[in-house]
Amino acid sequence: MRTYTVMIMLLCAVVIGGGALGADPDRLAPNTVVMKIDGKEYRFPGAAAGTVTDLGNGTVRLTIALRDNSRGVMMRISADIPEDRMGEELHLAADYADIAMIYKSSALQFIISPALQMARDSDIQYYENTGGAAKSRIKKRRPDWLGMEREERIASGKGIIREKSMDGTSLFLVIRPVADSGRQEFRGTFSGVARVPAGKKGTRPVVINGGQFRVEVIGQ
Amino acid sequence: MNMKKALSSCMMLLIAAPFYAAAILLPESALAFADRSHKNSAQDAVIYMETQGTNQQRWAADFLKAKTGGRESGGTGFDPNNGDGTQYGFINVARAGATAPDYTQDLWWDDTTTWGWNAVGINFTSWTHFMNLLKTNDDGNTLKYDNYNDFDGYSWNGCFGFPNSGIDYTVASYMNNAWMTIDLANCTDCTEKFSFVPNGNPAVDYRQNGSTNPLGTPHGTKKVGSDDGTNYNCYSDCVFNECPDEGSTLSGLYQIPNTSPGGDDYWTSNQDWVVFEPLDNAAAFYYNEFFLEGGASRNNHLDTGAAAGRYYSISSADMKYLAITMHYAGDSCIQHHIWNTSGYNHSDYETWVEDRYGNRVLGGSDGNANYENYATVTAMLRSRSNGETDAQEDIITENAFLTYLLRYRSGCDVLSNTTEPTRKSAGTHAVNQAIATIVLLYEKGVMDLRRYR
Repeated sequence: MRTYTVMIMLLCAVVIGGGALGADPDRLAPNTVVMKIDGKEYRFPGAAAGTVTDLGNGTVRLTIALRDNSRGVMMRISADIPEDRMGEELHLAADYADIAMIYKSSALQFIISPALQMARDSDIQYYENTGGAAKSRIKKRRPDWLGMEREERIASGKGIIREKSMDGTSLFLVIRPVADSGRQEFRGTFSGVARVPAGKKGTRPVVINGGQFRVEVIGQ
Repeated sequence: MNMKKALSSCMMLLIAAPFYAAAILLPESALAFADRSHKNSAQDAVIYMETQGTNQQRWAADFLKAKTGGRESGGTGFDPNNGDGTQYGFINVARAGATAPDYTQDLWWDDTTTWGWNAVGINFTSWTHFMNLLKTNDDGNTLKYDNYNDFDGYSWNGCFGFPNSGIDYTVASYMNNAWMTIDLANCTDCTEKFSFVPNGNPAVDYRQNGSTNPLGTPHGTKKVGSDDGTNYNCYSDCVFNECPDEGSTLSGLYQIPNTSPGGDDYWTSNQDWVVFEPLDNAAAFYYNEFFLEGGASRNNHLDTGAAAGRYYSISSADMKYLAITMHYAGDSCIQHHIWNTSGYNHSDYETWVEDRYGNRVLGGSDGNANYENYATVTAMLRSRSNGETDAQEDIITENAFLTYLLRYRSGCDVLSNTTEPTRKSAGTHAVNQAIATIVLLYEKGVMDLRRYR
């Protein structure tokens, strides 16, 4: 795996709060992320960047990464997409796409990862005894879920990867590549719901909304 | 000042800040089986030895009961730190020991925002409960599984799903460039540390079975290992490429760690990562160094001389160390711990088994809970290549191979399927395989004491 761009963290002071988030990532200063978490507004000017990583399997990982060292905040949103969709504006949801978010601060940490993914065809073959216990006859067969549609897989429980700890979470991401004065940028929006522990064995939702970013993809 | 140095400077400021660890919601990903399933399989193994075992196994069970102080009461007792309190007698110590390793607080990780033994909602010690038998990842690319051991333990770069999205990737991103305490005994900041041995220190203790894991020199009050070219100086640099070393690629993926100590490339991700010790190394530590040797040498290999006389003199308190090794036998029966992943239905499958076999009534016949089948256990024992005279690591590794192969058996692939029949088939196999291995290891424990007496 090779990241052929780099995140440059411009270490600027963070402005927390400060009124409306605005509605248009095009109006943000470069390398800025804004969002509301638990109803509180955060603005991180000049502390973020974008990367593109070739996963080597026909997929690329687009990343919006934020680190504000003065506030001790780290965040990453990533989206794994087919490489032939690189130039498109993408509208992605964790229900259907391989997108994820981590957020770390001294006061709050959470992750959002898909609660359901489709298993890949890794060329596995199962050994099956078709001759009964008395007279074994072993045959190899491919998984039957390879021929199933998504909904059939979910209904049958075959060919799926479930992560129940992510039930009740969501993540929505719009990411738009923009060429600005010869430089590549990602601009877009995000929102979602994370769940964090609350009391013994309980959880509470953490709402992320109004998320916007404008980040340079440096090294293109 | 270049960008990386600028970042490092700011990070140092962050480290000095009074950050605290707060749990986030993550899967209980590495509690293979889970609490009651581990306990029940150990108890079933004892009952098998008593009622179904060979003459030697029955005698071994009697020896174990005598040395522990009784069958269900007596002796010094053992508190596995799981809230159950002190457990007495062989069966109760066996149950406690089989779940105990999930309740140590001995792997401490530090980064800019988190610090502790469980800062991501799971107990970090669970990362020493894997053995990686993977030859390829989910994409079909070759994975290197033997960097520091014949079979490595857990690592993000050695995961089945690497480098694709999933829980393993998300956790690796969350941990990022964190570094681990490698001298727990002298870590003055590790105020909640808890080990089952005096001055426990897994980074060194679990370096068994010929492990070549490069440790480094402990630094600071947290005693982290941050030297270039060492193993525990970076979890994975898959977000911010600040880890110190560079590895080498295999199949286009970084698979061989630390081939260029200090030669990090800030433009490239996942070039440095941790590789944990495999579960058989942790088991070897408790078995060799404390059960057989009583902590006499603690030099990462078995000294049979130190075991001399313990056949007669072993204390009831030291019987817990044999019981603790059974946890790793149980974990090696879970496909995810051998296919090296925290995802792929890992936690859901274990919870499913726990809700059924974990709630089985002893001696019951509920087909949806009593997965133990002593005839199956006998068949499994008879099919083993390694017996009580063979090395402990070979017995556990053979068990791991059987678990690896189970995924290929029709109707047993729990990495890709969540159906009830699949989970029941795999779970039933895992339970009986665990019972068989625990029987074999208990028999071996007694016979090794006798052998070296």
